[in-house]
Amino acid sequence: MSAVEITPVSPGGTTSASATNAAYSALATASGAIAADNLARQSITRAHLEDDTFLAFSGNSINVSTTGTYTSTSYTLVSHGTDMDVPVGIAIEDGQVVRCHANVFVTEGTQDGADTDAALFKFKFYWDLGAGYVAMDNITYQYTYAVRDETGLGTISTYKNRRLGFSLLYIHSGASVTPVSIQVRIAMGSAINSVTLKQTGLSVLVFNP
Amino acid sequence: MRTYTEAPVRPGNIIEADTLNREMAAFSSQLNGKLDAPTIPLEAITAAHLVEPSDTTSGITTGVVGASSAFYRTETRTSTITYDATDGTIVSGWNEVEVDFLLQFTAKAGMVLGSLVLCGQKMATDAASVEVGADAVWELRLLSNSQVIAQSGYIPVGTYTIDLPFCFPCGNESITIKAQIRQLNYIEPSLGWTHPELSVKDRMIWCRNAYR
Repeated sequence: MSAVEITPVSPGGTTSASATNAAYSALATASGAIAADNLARQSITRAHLEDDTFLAFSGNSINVSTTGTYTSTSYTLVSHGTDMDVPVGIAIEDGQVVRCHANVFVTEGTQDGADTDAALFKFKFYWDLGAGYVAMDNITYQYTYAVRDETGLGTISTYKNRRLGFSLLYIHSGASVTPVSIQVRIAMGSAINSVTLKQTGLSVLVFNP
Repeated sequence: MRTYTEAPVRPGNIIEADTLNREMAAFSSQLNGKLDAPTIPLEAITAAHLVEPSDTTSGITTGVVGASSAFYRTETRTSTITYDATDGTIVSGWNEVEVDFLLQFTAKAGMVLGSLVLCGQKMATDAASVEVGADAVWELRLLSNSQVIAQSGYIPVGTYTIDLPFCFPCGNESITIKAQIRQLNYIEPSLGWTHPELSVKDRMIWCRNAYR
């Protein structure tokens, strides 16, 4: 780093007022070469940062009181009352992170006894990057409780009044993508299953670490 | 004539050099790099001024490290692992879900917040739909560097995806987070832990390391 030169004056010596004025004027109009190493780590506080530096986007979608019954074995948007769908519409750059949290209240699910222990129903996060909705990740969130009741396990299994929560962390790598939205979709484990959902919530956060 | 210095000007339009150097130092030092917080206007720093996030990989863990936080996750595994006491793939007490199913990263002092997502299946019936152990339960826990950081409690028979959150303070240290399972009998935990079968399906661990 080069130093800004000031009119050389020996300590204990004297100089003229006109020289002083000239030196001050030079400083007043000087443009310093401010480089990265001028910005010492301890000098910067959070107050110096723009609000959107870390949290690029936040969204939430909640269905409150309406119920919906799902029976399809294909992944279907959870859409009773309000769609379980959060619009994104911003570019996600290399190194940025998407966090998704979903919670679902299940009022009742039924399935045939022969299928008691297998997944009654399952969820996936979907997104549309411009070419239709596809799964964000290959993880599947699967659920069944074999509930003991008077009919016994061998006949009917019921699943009542449980809240489920599940999450996903996605780290983007490569060229930027712009999701239209992120959704929660549900599918049955078997064609004879059905599930009724009530309150649901979905939050999507995009971070720039 | 106007002068910038606050010191008295001597007869003959002369000032003392010590005064000049002292007064000039405040300005010249800033141009020479001695900046502090008041020099930088509030909200002047944007993401573009910060160091670009860098990617990391360790085993099955991938991550991205930024200025004030880092995110890490394991790969998503969808294979089914079935534990069978008769061949020793599960023993009484806690067992590793998988030897190499680890979230590994180098943390900076701060907090680690994340979640384990794991689907477990414990059969209540056999292939002929005969009840073989509806009292059986299984349990899941997470350890960070051998310290327990989260535990699920008993999970009944059936198929259930657990989203087990965790949060703990950390120093500048290497961290390894792993998942363990055990199975037991709800009515009498010391009995019947070997039956019925326990399987693990889709699974991943993710976390955020937040620091200054």
